Formats: sequence, structure tokens, C-alpha cells
Amino acid sequence: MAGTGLIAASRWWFTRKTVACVAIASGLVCAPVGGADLPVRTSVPTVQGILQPKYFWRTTGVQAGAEILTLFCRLDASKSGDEREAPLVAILRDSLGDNDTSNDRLRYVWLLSYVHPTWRQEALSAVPFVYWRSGGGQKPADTKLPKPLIDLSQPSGPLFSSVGHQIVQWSLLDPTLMPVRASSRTYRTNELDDERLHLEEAIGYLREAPVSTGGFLGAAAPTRAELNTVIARLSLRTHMLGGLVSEQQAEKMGEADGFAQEITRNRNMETLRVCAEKTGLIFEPIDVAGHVGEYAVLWYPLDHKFERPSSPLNTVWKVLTIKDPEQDPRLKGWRGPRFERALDSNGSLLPTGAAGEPVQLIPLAVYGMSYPTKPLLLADFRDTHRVRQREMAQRMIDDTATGILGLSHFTNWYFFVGEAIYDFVRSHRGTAVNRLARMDSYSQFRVELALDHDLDPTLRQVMQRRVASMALNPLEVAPAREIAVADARYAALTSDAEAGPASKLAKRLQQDRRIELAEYGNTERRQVSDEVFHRATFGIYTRRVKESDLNPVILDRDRRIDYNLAFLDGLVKAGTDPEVSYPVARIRDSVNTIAELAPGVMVNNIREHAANTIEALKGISNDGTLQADCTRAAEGIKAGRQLLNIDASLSFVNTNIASGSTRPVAKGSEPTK
Amino acid sequence: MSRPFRFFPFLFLALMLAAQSSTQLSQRESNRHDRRLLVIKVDGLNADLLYDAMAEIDPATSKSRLPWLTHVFSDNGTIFKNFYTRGISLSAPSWSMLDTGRHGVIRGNVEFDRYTGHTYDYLNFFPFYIGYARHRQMDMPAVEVLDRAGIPLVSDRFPPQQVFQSPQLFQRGVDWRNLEHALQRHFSEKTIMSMIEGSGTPSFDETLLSQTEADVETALRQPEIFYIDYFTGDIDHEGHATNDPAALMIQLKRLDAFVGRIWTAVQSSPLAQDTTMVMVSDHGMNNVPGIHSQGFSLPDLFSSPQGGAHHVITDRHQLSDYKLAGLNPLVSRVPTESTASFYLKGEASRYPTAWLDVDGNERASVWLRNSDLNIIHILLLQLANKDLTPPIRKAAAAFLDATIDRHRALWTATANGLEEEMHALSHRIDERKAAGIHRKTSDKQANRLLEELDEWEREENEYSSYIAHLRALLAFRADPEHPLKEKISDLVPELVLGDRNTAGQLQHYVSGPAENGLAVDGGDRLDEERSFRHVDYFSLLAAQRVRNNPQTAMSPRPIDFTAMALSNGDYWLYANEESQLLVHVSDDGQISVQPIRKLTDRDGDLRYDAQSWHDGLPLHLFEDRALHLPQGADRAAWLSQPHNEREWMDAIHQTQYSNGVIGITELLSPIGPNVPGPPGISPVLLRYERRRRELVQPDFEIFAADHWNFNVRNFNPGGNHGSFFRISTHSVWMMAGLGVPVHQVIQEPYDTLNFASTILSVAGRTPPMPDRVVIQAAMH
Repeated sequence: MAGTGLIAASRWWFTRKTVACVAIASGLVCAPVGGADLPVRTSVPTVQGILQPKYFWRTTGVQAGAEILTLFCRLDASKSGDEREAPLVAILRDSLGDNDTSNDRLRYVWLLSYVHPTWRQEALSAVPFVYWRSGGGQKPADTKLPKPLIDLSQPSGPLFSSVGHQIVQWSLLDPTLMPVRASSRTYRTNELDDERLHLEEAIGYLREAPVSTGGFLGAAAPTRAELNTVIARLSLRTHMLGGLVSEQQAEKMGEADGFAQEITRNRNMETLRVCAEKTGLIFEPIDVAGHVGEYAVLWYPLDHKFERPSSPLNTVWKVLTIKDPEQDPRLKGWRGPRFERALDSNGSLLPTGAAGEPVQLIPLAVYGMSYPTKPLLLADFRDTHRVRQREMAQRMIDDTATGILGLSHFTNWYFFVGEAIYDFVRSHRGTAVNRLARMDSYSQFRVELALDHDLDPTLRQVMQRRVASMALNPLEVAPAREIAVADARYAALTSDAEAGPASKLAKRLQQDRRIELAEYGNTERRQVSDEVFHRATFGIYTRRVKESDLNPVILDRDRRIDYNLAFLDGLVKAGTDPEVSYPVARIRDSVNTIAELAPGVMVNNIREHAANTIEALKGISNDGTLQADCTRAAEGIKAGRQLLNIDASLSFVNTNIASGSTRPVAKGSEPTK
Repeated sequence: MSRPFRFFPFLFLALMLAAQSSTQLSQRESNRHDRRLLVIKVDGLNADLLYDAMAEIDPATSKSRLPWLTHVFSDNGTIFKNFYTRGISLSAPSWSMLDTGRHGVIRGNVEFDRYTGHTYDYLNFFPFYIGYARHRQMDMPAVEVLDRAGIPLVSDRFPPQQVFQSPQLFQRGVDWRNLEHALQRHFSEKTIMSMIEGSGTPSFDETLLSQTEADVETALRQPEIFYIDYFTGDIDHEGHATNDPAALMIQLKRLDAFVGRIWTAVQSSPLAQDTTMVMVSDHGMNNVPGIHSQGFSLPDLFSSPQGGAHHVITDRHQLSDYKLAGLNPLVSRVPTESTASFYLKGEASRYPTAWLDVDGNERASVWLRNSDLNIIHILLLQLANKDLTPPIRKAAAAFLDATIDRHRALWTATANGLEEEMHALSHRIDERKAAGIHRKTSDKQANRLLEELDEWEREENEYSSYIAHLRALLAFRADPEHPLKEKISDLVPELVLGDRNTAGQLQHYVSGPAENGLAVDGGDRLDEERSFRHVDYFSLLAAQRVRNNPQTAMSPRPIDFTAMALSNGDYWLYANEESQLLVHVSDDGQISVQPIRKLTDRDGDLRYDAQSWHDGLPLHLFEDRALHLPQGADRAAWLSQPHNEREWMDAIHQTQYSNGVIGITELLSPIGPNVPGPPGISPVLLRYERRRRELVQPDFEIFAADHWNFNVRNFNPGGNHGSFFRISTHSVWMMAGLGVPVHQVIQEPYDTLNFASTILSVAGRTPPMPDRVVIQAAMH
């Protein structure tokens, strides 16, 4: 049943979107449409603005007890004198309208710079071997609520559509005619690449975002744990089964990924510096849009020849992916940009404007440091098409193998095994073979370059030209256009949030909360069956609780139980004396909160879970008072469901939600009956 | 049954009960005597990093950020706040002292035998595991070296059945069950699911560590096990990779949670009251937030014309090679060819002349082929040339004979001594063969004996070959009129470095023939200066600068100073011609340090200018504000006087180079006296064992400037260690449990040599160096 439902859902999706595009693409030749870059809003710079960090959060209240946290990039260019603020990513925090962080949930993430492709772009993206950018995307509607990039409360949602896609592709499209197979596969590849591009873009922004440390940022920024979870969820979207990862695992993964990336960046930076030293080039790390340690330029000093080692340098040039400038005739009559800089007595490059031995520099290449195994060439200043040709060649091979020849991982496994071995060998000989990882680096660079206003304008312009030439996806839109669109999308989002009862976002939030309530404590089987029904009915059936004034109170209770239970589960999992790591009062507080709230929960799973955790906690505790609390709590929970006394708090919650305040008075400070 | 016999069953039962009770009592007594020792070995854990984190309060919990470490060792144990690596802050040398309690006989992570080219690769696990599986290698190479030197490990003080040892550098045998269970964990349903979900899978190292932790907990439950140790290299790896305090804190928190679990397991173990828990690290780590460690390529320098155009040997492939061969885990000797070689082009695999241990991160050991061996090789090549003019041929032949004659006495003594040792070794080989021992899976001791036999046979072959070459050279007389007929490889052995270079040789090292070939002086003698290219390595290294140095906080000078032992037994530290130190150790152990300048060595005649103390000398003692001298003492006067180790330690341990003065004496001291030899060894074979250890000593050591490193295999931008910097030597030593005072912080400085003797003493065992036991002295 489930499989049928998935196939049906996938077929519907394809019927609606893909097949139409395939049909159009087969018969039409679409001319590329150039995207016009819109001017960015400017204003007079302020001292305060210059002193403030480059990335910052701004909060907008939403009806129904939530707030939108928007990450901005300050495009203040001390050189140009302009101050601009570009909204980049927005996150909705469902706070239930109080100050208690234990019942907060992050729900939706918007990439504000996302531009939906036009139908012509979509059609062209289904034509095999079309490797160029083809338009500026749709114009953002002023009133339409932007679609979130990801719904954090439904992380497994994309899993079903992704599986459905694969099944439809393998079972229906691949066995048909080659043009259909090639078109559908090309479309899907472009679509996934475009999605990945934007996911990486959002991740790149969020990695730069400040976090709440309890200081002046306060609740205006997400906490480090929240941000790690969001980043992990975005990253997991690129994996078919990534939505199955648990909340705790996702947070850890986000944190670990951040550290791993930093390690990769540092190692690549050092590799590039060593290669520059060996080859007699000059290495200079550059900050792009305030991103430190991510990019570096290699310069060729004219009229200065530095000594090279006496060991062969072939592999070094291979790692650098550029030609030896000493052997390159193009540099003799170089017409490209040259820069006047200075060297110190050791031959080290001095900062721009510093006095020293003058030297003329030719930029050779820009490298990104986030590729996993080596510094990745992002722009070769001597060869505009070099990087693009490499990318096109690999796409062409992939498209030919899977789309034209129809090679399958199952029946033609030997081809893919051979390819994997070939890639393995090339990778260990200094070639960047991972196309997706290359795309991630490229994705980050293109938008950061668009945000940057501190680099030398000539250098930036040359870089932008090189990067623009690397756009292979017809669905892609110029980054400058994306940044311009972000303003409109941000305006649409905030105007909706401020629309009071007419807010579409508030309505959606209320509906999603009802789903959350319906899902609370469900078994895995129940979750799967709900999802299958939902997909099988094309989204018509969605299991929700009925609308009720009690819903916010129950939601608050459920979330607080979850929060405290997760804390106690952590202590129990550690298996050690909990009082050593946490104050007894803090642990008792959680136990007592659960003791107070859990008996009112109708779902047996939760009550059993709570009772078991508390009993296990008692077993590892050495504190008499905590043990007594645990005994009392476990007995209370086991004693059965008790009626939830909600009358006391009902009027309070309603008052807050009706007021529309995003920062209501804390519950604890309210008078109680 | 008659009346008297009716009581027999009761009597028998009573006797049995009494006997059993007596056995239990004696067992308990025995157990009390054999207290349990649980040692947690943490590679590369910097003491400042740990102690600062322990002292920090987490606002979320209002407890220490590392609550378990604080609870166990701070609240319920003793912390040695000033504990330092003795010698260089490197894993193999440091663990060798921690694990034995003796002066070091291992002085690098890799060592090369000068006469045979044999490589001692102490950090590579792969050959060991493969060798063990084939019953060809029973212990890690470092343990084998210690066994041959007759130095027991701390764990050897306990019968094998009472020992649980986790995988580590100084590992005896392999517990395949540990690997098997780790593999099962690694490919468990949970891990595979994580892989499919894309949430990342733990590395095999992490899984192995988790399995080892489970094994430790199992061992704790077994009352018959009295020595348990657990080794983790995670913090060292992380510290090399990143200097991000948040990332390092995560590792510390993992360690903290582990200590919590183990402490809890100890408390519920049958020997809870008889257990002493110890945590120790072998060295610190030069992690400074915001500063990335940068590499300087010594292989590039030594292969360059100004560096001598050597073919260079390293123990691993260089990362910049990007070769598939770099994946080979069994490699331990990789030649890198110099395209600029002056006389050995294309001979990199036969005649590499510079061998480097750059695994030392902040320090490197350099073995250069003896300069006179180079002269001999160059002259032999010249004499083989038919086009050589008669006067030059004659002069070259005379110079070659003179060079050989200069070494005649030494080489004759070496050949005679080695021959005698080979004879004794041959006798041992015959004895061992006659014993009729066979390889058996279950008999580790038999396998060890057979492995030793294999080693002896290899050594006999290799040293005999060296003796044959020496004899051939001693018998050789150059023909002044005809081209050379002899095969050069019969006279100059391949993959051999010959005797250590003196300071004078290194100041005037012959790296090749002169650009214009050999030249004669006014008479008929070879003009040495005009005939050869020379390198002064000390000034060359001091002059090195790096162009691509984007971090303004770092000096463009990658090399801090070089150090070597002089022919008179003193130790020489060279920063530049004007800034040098001479360290002298008297027979009664008094160490004196003298600032000097312009030291020269002409055939053993050492000359230098004494100078007064000033800023900028190696180790920077004079200007260091953390130098702690007795009240009223004058800096220059105190530093110029001889002092014993304790006085030096108290004065200098908080300076930038911590216990560098003592470290130099440990690193460069003659190694032979530290080799006691296995019990019952004959004097000739003891001499042989001492010779083998002396033969792995490098010519000199290079120390990197702050935040520079010499890695070529893996760049370590996070941080490094290996030097005498306090941040690299400051290590962790904490104890808790039986025999350890609670809530004690020992401020008095100690070093690696104090560790094993102290913990063995606490465990009721005989310490290897009783004068190094500090538990009574420091704690009470």
C-alpha cells in the first residue's frame, strides 16, 4: 500500500512539473534570458553601522506567539562609503508567545535570496547538454508569502518525494525512450543541483551568523545549538534519508560539521601556502564578504624570481590546477590586470598601500578552502574557460552515461565501479573529483562575491566574470539578482507577519501546531502510516487535532515535557552520578516538572518513557532528596492519567496570543490561582 | 558409625571452611599488597588547557566545565600542576620514559641506524598488526627496542595474566577480540543507518576507542587484574588539526565523560578500595587560538643546491607528492630525489645522503652521511673518470688515501669491535636455533624468541656487510696513475651514513665536487677548498626565511636554533654566530650553561669566545620574566653557575622553554649508559646493544621557531609539539584513589622520570628509580 501511494504521489508530482517541462523542452528551443541586476538599496553610513558586525539578526513579531529571526549582511563598504543591509536567511521561532525557551521550536527556514525559476528556465533545464544560465527567475510577488526552503518540524517530509522521484525515474521513465530518460534525468540533476546550491548558500550564511550567548544579542539571535540544528537539517536535505536523523543527532552533526569544515579550511590554506612557497609564487588570503580564511589568491611577481626547490614540482602544479607561469607565454604579453604592491626585505607581500620594495603582481588564481581534500581552483585568471570546461566535461560524461546510454548502477555496476576506482586514483593524485563538493564551494563563492564590497573593485570584477562563466545550470540565477530579490521577499514576509489576523504565516503556524499535537508521542508505525496517507491523498489528508483554545496550553505542556525529558535522558544515558555534572536543584526541577505535567498526557508512550527515565535516574543518583523526588514522580506518573488542571493558565495564554505581542510577560511572573 | 566418627563430617566441613577462609584471607592480603593500578594515558593533552577548563565554571550548571575530572582528581585526588616532558616533547621518547621510569633510549618518533640504514618506525601500527597476524612480530617496535635494552615496562612489573593493556605505542601483543568487537560495532545496524542517513559515521579509531572503553570496564570487574591502562590519541589528533577552543573543549568534555564512566565503574568494581586511578599525558600542544602553525620544508632545503643537494630520506611520503604510494601504510623509508645533486644524480634509492625525522613537528632530527665518506665517494667517482688529468689524478689519489688514513684507527677499532660482537651474536643465533623453538599461535614467548632470532640474523648480515666495506676501504690504496678498477659500491656501502659528523664537519660539510671539478694547489696536492662544495649547516639553517608568511604574529624565521653533542661531551645550542650556548654536565650531575659565540671545531679542537649573558641567546633564559631565582640572586651570576637538576627545574620551569636546559641534557646525552641490557647478557653483547642504540643518534637536532613546524606528511595547522616550549612540554599528571591524598595540588615541578617510579611505589611495587618517587616527598 505504502509503495503504491508513493508511486502515485511521485507520478502526480512528475505529471504536474517534470513531464510538462520535458514535453516543452523536446519541442521548444528557448533562447537564454539575461537576468537584469537590480540596484541594491543604499543609505548614508553611520558610525554605529561601521562598528557593528557584518552579519546580524533582526526580529519581527508574528501573530500567534512566534517571531521571525532574519539574518542580515551589512554591506557597508568603508571604501565606497555606502551602507546597505541585505536580508539573507529568515527563521521562524515558534515561542508560544512567552519567554520560556524550553517550549520554543524553530520551524521554517527561508532563503530570502531564492529566486523561483521561470517556466522557460525549467523547460531549458530538461534539455540535455544545455550548460548555461538562462534567465533571471520569476519576479517576486509583493503579497505572496515566500515558500520556506525547509520545514524543520517535518524533516522527513522530503524523504518521501525524493524516494518517489527515484522510483518513478527507475520504473517509469528510464525504461521508455531515450529522449524522455535523458530529459527527465537532466531535469532532475539540474533541479537537485539548484536545490543544493541554495541549501549551501543558506548554510554558508548561517555559518557566519552570530549566536545568542545570553548577552546583548539575547533572544534576537538563535542559540548555537539551534543554529547547529538548522545547519545540519539543511545539510541533511542533500541526502535522501537525511530526514530520518534525530534532533539530538542533528545538533551534534551541525556542530561537528562546523569544526570539520574549519579543519579542512585550515589544512587547505596551509597546503596552498606551502605550494606557493615551493613554486615561487606569492600567496595571499583574502576576506570575501567578511568571510575570513576561506579564500586565497596566488600572485605571480613580475621581475622577481624566487628560488624553487630541487625536487620535481609536477604534482604541485597538478594540485594547484594551473600552469607554471614561468613556462606560460601568455604572461609575456599579459593584458590582464596588474597590481602595484610592495615586498618586505624577506620577499613577503606587504598589505596594500604599505611601503617596501615595489613589485608588479599578476593574479594567477583564486582558491576556495572548503573542498575536502585540497584547495579548489575557483578562478583561473589566465584562462576564462578552464574551470567551466572541466565542469562541463564531467557533467557531459555523467549525462551521457545515465541519460543517453542509460547505464544503471544495478545492471552496469562495473562501469560505476571502474569510475569509482578511476576517481579514487585521480583524487589521490591531487585532482578534485567530487562534483558536488566542488559545487558547494562554487555556490558559496558566487554569493559571497556578490555581497562583498571590500575587495579591490578590479579584482572583484575579474573574479565575478570568471565565476559567472561557471554557471552551468539553466535554473540558476545571477547572485546579484538574488540579493536584490531578497529585499522584496523579506518585505513580503514581514508585511505578512505584521498583517494581524489576516497573516497567512500565522494561519499556517496554527495548522502546523495542530499537526504537532496530533503527532505527539506517536509510535513510528503511526508516523509512517500518517505520512503514507498524507502522500497517498496528495496532501488532502493531514492528521491534525481539532482547533481548540486548549491547544496552546497542551502544546506548551508537551514541549516542556519533551525538553525536560531530553535533559533527564541525557543524564541517564551518561550512566554516572548526575549530581556531579549538574546541581541537584536543576535535576529536581526537571523531575518535578515532569511529575507535574506527565500524568496529564494521554499518550502512554510518553508516560512510560517518563516513568522509566525517572526510575533509571533514581538508580544512578546518590542524592537522597532527588531519589525521593524520583520515587514520588514515578509513582505519580504510574498511578495513571490525571486530569490536567489547565484552568489556571488558560486565560493567561489566550491573553498573550490575542495581544499579538512577540515578547509577552513570562509565565512565571503571572499571578496564579 | 561409632560415636567418635560421627563428628568426622562436621570436622571435615569445618576444616574445609577454615581452609577456604584462610585462602580468601591470604588472597585478600595478596590483593592488598598488589593494589590495582588504572592508568589513563592521554596523548598530547596540554596541562594548561585542561587545568584552565577544570577551573572554569559553566554558567549553565554552575559547576566546572569538566565536572568529572574536577570531582575525581581535584576534589578526591592529587594534581601535579607542574609536570613536564623530559627531553623533547614527542610521543615515542616521552612514552618510553613514562612507561619505564628510566632515562630515554628512544629519542625520536623514527630513528635510522647509521651503519645499516635500518629504520625504527615507532608510530606505525600497520606493520605491527600484519606482523603479529603472521606471528612474525609480537610487540610494537618501541617495546622491542626496550626489551633488547633490558628495560621493562611498568606493565611488565605485573604478571601477564594480571594485565589489561589497550592498543598504544608501547603495546605488547594484540588482543584480536578487541579488534573483532570494534569491527562489529563499526558495522552495526546503528552505524550503517547513520551512514545511509548521511549523518556521518564514527571513524574506526573512534569505534576502537569505544570498544576499548568497554574492555576496560570488563577488566575492572575482574578481581584478578591489577594493571589496567587505556590510551587515547584523540586529543593529540584534534590539537594538531585545530586550535579552536570550542573544538578542543568538546574533546575535553568527551574525556571528562569517559573519566566519569570509568570512575563509576571503579566504584562498583570488586577492588574499588584498592584501586589507584592515574591520568597522564606525554606532552602538551602548542595550540594558540588565532595562530595557525605553518610548515617549513626541510626536505626541500636539504635537496636544494645551497642545502647540499642531498637525496633525502623521510619515513613517509610527502603530502605534496600526491602519490598513490602515499597510501601504503607499510612504508618507513621514502627517498626524495634532488634534481640538483652534484655527484649522485639518479642514485636516490642507493645513496641518499640526508635522512630526516620530521615527524617531530616542532623539531627535526638530521642524519647526514659522514662528510669524509662523501669525499671518498666523490674522489672514487673522479678516479673512475678516464679523462682525469695525471696531476689531478695523482693529487686525488693521495687525498683519498689520506682521508682513509685519517679514519684508519677508528675504523679498524670499529671493525674489530663489531666483528667480535657479530661473533658473539652468531653464537647466540646458533644457541637459539639449537633450542628447537617453533612458532605457535598460542605461545607468544616462543614467537618472541623466534622474532628476536630473525632480527639477530638480519643484523648479523647487515653489520657484517658494513664491516666488509670498512675492511675493503682500509685495504684500498688509490692508483695514482690509472683509472679506478674497483666497484664503488664495494667500497662505499649503499644506504649507509657512516660515523656521526663532528661539529667541524657540519660547519664545513662536503656536499659535492666544486663546479669546476677538482683542483690542485701550487704543489701537487689537492686543494680541498677549491675542489669541493662546502656547506655550513648551522649558519645555513639560521639564515632561512619564509616569504609566504601571512600571519604577522609569526616570525619569518622558521628555525629557532640547532643543537648537537660536541666531541668533548658538552652540548652546543646555536641560534646564530653571535648567540650560542654551551651546556656542560659534570660527573656529579651539576649542569652549567655558558653563553658563547663563534664556536669552531677543527678536528676536535673546540674554540669559542665566551660572552656575558644577554637577550636573544638560545632558550631566552636571561630575558625571561618567568625565570624564578632564589631571593636576591643576580640573573647572570646565577645562570653562569653550575646547579643540580632540582635547582634548575625550580628556576626555569615556568619560562618559555620550561625545562629546556634539562631536556637538552636528556636528549643529547650518551645513550649507552642508559642501556642496562637484559639480565645475564654477556659484556660483548651488552656493548653491542649499546652500540646499536648509539648508532641511531642523529648528527643534530633542529628546533622550530614558535608556531612553525617541519611536517611534510600531514600539515598540522592547529598546533604542534616537539620543542622545549612550555606549552609543548607542560603535561598532565593527576592521581586519585588508594594511597593518594585528596584535594591536593602539588606546585613543585616534576618531569617524566618521576612518573613510573611514583605510581609503582603507590601500587606497592619496586620503583625503577627510587630517588624519583615523589608521592611521599611532595604529597605529605
